[in-house]
Amino acid sequence: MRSIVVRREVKEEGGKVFAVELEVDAECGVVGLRISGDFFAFPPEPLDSLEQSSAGRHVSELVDLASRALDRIVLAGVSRETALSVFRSVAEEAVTKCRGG
Amino acid sequence: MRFRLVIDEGDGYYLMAMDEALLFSVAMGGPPTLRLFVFSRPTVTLGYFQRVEEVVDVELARREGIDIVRRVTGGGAVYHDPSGEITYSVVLPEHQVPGDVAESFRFLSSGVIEAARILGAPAEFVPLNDGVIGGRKFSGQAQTRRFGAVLQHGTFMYATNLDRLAEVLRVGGVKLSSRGPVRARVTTVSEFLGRTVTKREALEALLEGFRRGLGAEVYEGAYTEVELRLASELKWKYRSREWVFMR
Repeated sequence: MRSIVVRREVKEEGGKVFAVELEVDAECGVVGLRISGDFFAFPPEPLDSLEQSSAGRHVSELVDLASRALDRIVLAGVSRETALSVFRSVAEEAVTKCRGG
Repeated sequence: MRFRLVIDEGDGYYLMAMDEALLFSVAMGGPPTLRLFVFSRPTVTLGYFQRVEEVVDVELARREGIDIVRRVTGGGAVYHDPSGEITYSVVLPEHQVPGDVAESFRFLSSGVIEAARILGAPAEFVPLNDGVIGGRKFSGQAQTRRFGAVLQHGTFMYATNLDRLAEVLRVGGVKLSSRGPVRARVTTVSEFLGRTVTKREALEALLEGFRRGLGAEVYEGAYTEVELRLASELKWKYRSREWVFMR
């Protein structure tokens, strides 16, 4: 089945790279989520869990899942708002490209 | 503050495993530790969230015998040159560092900044985690916090081969467009001073730098049996393809 990959990365002035790659299927189900960059997360595990727990969920749930993960960590090198905007951006683009959008 | 000092050398898998072992040790009540070490082989260490192919020329690393090791800390990729770089680790209880992450980076980086100044280079700390001389980076720091303990480790490039560094580290995307090519952004203490700083000089400067920077009393010590055993176990994680290529 055809899948769609959407990627966004940001780097705020004086900050670090924060990137999200989202893969969804034609039904807008999340196939994979990969978070990367040279930012810091204390602790990092909630973002690891987000990558795993988002698989199989509808893409429309991603921003809420991400928001809850970000509530459990302290970020350095990227603000919470910016990180969340990256999740929102990839989710919106994915929705427009998959059949459920 | 009193710090146990351990001077060490080994491959990147062992060195990163021992840093993680010390984090657990301090969390369990072990002594705050300052560790100065040299990689025995050329090595690139990656930040926890970095994707290998995006930040390392893997083919060049394989061809030239450069190890690739993922850190437990965030931050960016670092090239460790056995002949021109010393890495430090500071491990201590979280309540002994500023709660604000940015301030804690500054505080724990003070030893490496002071070391460059001792050698004659006008080093400065630039948030979030860089040590710079004349606007060019000679030191990068990374940090993690677990179970009430903080591990910060960082580089001290006193004579790193910067051409090799620029070859093996990849910078792309938004970082390249905002900061430019690697070679133009980095320096070493030797390059700035116009003379070759020796490993011994660098080591002595770091030791004195941390004494001054942290206002610390430093005493020579050794790893405990538990720390050695834990590092030995953790080394397999750092060697594993699953860990190195997890992203």
